[in-house]
Amino acid sequence: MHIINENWKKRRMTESGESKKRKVLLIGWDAADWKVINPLIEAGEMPALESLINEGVMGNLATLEPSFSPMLWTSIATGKRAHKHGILGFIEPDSSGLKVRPVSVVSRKVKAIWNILMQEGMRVHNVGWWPSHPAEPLNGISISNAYQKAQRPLGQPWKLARGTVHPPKMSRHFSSLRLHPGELTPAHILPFVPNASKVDQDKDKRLTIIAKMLAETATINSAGTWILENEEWDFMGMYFDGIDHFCHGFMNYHPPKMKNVAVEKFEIYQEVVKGAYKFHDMMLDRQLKLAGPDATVILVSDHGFHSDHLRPSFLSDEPAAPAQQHRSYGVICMRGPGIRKDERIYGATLLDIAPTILSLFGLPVGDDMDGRPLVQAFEGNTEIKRIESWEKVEGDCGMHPADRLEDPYDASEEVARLVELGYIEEPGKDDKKNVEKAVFESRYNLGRAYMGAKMFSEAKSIFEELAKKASDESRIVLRLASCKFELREFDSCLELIKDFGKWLTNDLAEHKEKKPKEIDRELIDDEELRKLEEEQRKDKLRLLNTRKDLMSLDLIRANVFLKKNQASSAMQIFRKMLAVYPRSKQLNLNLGRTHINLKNWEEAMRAFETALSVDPDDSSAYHGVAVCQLRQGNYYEAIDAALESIALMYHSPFGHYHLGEAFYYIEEYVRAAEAFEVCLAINPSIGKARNWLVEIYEDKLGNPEKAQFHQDYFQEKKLTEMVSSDQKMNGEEYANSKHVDLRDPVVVVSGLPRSGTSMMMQMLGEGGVDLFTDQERKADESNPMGYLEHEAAKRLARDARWVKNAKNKAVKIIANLLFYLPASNNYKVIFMLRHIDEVINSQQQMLIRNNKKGAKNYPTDLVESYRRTLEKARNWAKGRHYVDILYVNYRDVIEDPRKEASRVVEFLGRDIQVESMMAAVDKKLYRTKN
Amino acid sequence: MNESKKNIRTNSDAAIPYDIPVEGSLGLLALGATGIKEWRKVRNAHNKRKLEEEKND
Repeated sequence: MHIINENWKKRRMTESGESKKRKVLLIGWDAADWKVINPLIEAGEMPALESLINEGVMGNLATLEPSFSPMLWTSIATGKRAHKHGILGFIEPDSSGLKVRPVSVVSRKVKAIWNILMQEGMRVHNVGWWPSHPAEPLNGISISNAYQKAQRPLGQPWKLARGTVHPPKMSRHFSSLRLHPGELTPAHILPFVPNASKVDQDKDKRLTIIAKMLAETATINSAGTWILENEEWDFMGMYFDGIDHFCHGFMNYHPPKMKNVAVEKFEIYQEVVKGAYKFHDMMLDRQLKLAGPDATVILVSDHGFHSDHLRPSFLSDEPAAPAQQHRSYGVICMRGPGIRKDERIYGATLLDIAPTILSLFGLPVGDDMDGRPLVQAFEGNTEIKRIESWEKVEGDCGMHPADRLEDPYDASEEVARLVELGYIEEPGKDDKKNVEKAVFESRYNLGRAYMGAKMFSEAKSIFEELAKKASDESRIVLRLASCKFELREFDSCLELIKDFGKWLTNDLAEHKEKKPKEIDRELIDDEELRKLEEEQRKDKLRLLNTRKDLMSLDLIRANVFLKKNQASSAMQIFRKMLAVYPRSKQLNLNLGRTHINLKNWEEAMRAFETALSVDPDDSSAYHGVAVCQLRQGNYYEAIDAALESIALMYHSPFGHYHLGEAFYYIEEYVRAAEAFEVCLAINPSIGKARNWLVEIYEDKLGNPEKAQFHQDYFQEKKLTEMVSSDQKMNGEEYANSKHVDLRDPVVVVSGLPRSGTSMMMQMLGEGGVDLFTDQERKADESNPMGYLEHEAAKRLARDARWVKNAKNKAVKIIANLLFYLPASNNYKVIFMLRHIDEVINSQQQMLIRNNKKGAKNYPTDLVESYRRTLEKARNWAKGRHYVDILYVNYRDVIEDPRKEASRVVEFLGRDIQVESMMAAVDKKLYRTKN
Repeated sequence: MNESKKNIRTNSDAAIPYDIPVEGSLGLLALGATGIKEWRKVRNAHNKRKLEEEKND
């Protein structure tokens, strides 16, 4: 047994020896969204939630990709992403591998929060979590998500599936606490549908659906409240899927009326979603009272649900398409002892819930968890303890044994419900095909989970594997292209886009040619008419989806051009697309980023503002505005926009980065440092933030220790910890790894004197690169093509202020002065190498030609000194994220100028003429050979 | 419609009286196990009475 257990027991005892109990009630409301809640609270229609907010903290809870509830709720319970916890969708093959079943808790590979707490001696209960069937053998009561579903009409036997309740002896009792939809009366339904009398129930089954959803929700509440009233508890988890189900069924009838919804249906069903929220609030009131004031109550949702103009007018034809109605932010509220009151918290994600609960109990957070405790919600300073992994802590935690054999149970009702909600397609009669399909979908979801974790290489392998089986599925190909893009495999990405785009275009052309069948309504019966209409609806949907897919391909293509510094090509694509979709948020965001890339600040602002007019909650649009304001010198406006962006998406490091820059420019150095520190806490690999901190701590805040800490970060080569892909946000890029694009670099041509630096400058100039030179030093016999130097470069050790003027230009700086280049710029260094003997001999020749002293003696000491300089230069480049270096051998340039010029072009990533560069190489000038 | 009143206990409040109409209410469902149980008692008693009345008629 791990030592933590003993520590915990000690900690829980007060001086008087009595147990001081922390109790946590975790309530899950699937799909709950502030956008629906806020107006209801303002109208006084959700008083329980209002009291919870007033007595504690509230905020947005960012969801994960893909936003499929079983995966998300498992992430909430474990603090881990799906590729770690193993729940990968709605259905899975059963233990025989011959049939499919709803996803089960047996597939979860890691401990949930209740397992950890049980192991640490607490009494834990869990009701209805998704997935939780078969019920885990917890030390309290465990009721699985198969509990609330009524399979048969009222009056017929309603058996509990085996494994639904633990301990099994409580099954009969909990069976009696369920509510059957058939028990409900108009008194229950009318609050949801005041005009229920207008419904023709022979044709419209929606009232039955409402009764079912309501009964299921009330059943979970029934079991949960019984436990709260009658059992001892330290932790209690309760999960309600009601809001999600009501929203999927009725959000299209929620005000304001959607264009494609018939007036009479709108009038009948417009209160359903509100009714669902209000009922959840009534249940919450009871739960809060039963939990008591000493309990910590945490209420969360796994994602939001579009309720306004962002409701999709059509869904794509891919499986689980209804998830497209989900919004990226769910809700979090928390109240209880030690929790701040009436405050807002920022930047919470659903990965943070399990670590937060562990911290509330004074337990360590696993290093293998992907979230972090929400310490901003805690009063005072809370010490956060760490542990390598809870998975290694031994002891009974109430999980099923790994070799557990499944109890066979009839899951047909549960599967039917998933089909009804649109989360899965109706399984066919061919079991083998169903299993294959389930495996395919879980692989696809795993790929998406990897993408969400920015593990693009792993994701790419999966999508490549799937694309072999389904090369015509846009969702697979688009994600494969996105992975290639993120991995900077641009050529292969473009090729894939081109091939698939051609295929889609042909498909679209075929559709356009295909004229819809004329339907003679007089001649066909109702069933045939329904089939034909359904066929036409599907055709129309396919056409819309194909157009959408082509647009997605174009977006990726344009972004590849942006990465390749071909902003004008990207702009062309965006303009073409905007002509068709002027109000597309995604397009306007991309356009804004492109304008930032081209430094068209005002046009960029316009694009971001259009995106915000479509979705006022888009954090990246606010961030774009912040960047534009910052670059135009409007620092206070930049701060406002950056704060808006952070409020919506706390975890975006670049929001904090630009906030830091804006604070710096208004000389608020403490706040600037705070912002850069947060940026690095989120992503330690953003070296440029570290540079700012070095400067602020050293020059502005007089804190050399902290400055040294950040400086050491580079020196100690912690760069190896950094992520491999470069970071990008709103067109401004920050490189973390070597040989990547650096934003607005100063191109430095360096090396020992007489190593070919002038020749390289000449080559760059001929190729079209602007040279930063004052032509003070004239050409002579030693350098007949000119030195192409700048006097300021020679004073670099004393004055580096001029360097920023050399952005995007090439400047010659000898190797000994490289170390004085300020960290506030990016550098692409072309370092010329030449055999040291040749260098020294060439210098000697030059001295002789110029009649200088010392020309006659061979300077042996210089050989070692030059070697040291070269080594120092190499280390300097290695330890700095803002430096990218290319070593070019002088002799190689003379022998194969095309090859070396091409290397330089590739390194600089610019449109430079190789042929022109080659013309600057004069082999006759290679006079001093070793 | 017949209706009954019943004191229902909560942990933080003293027991307070709730209306229990025969046809039920969302409020009773929200009360959870206790609300459902008490409603069923009232409903079953009502149904039994009705049945007896019908028999006597």
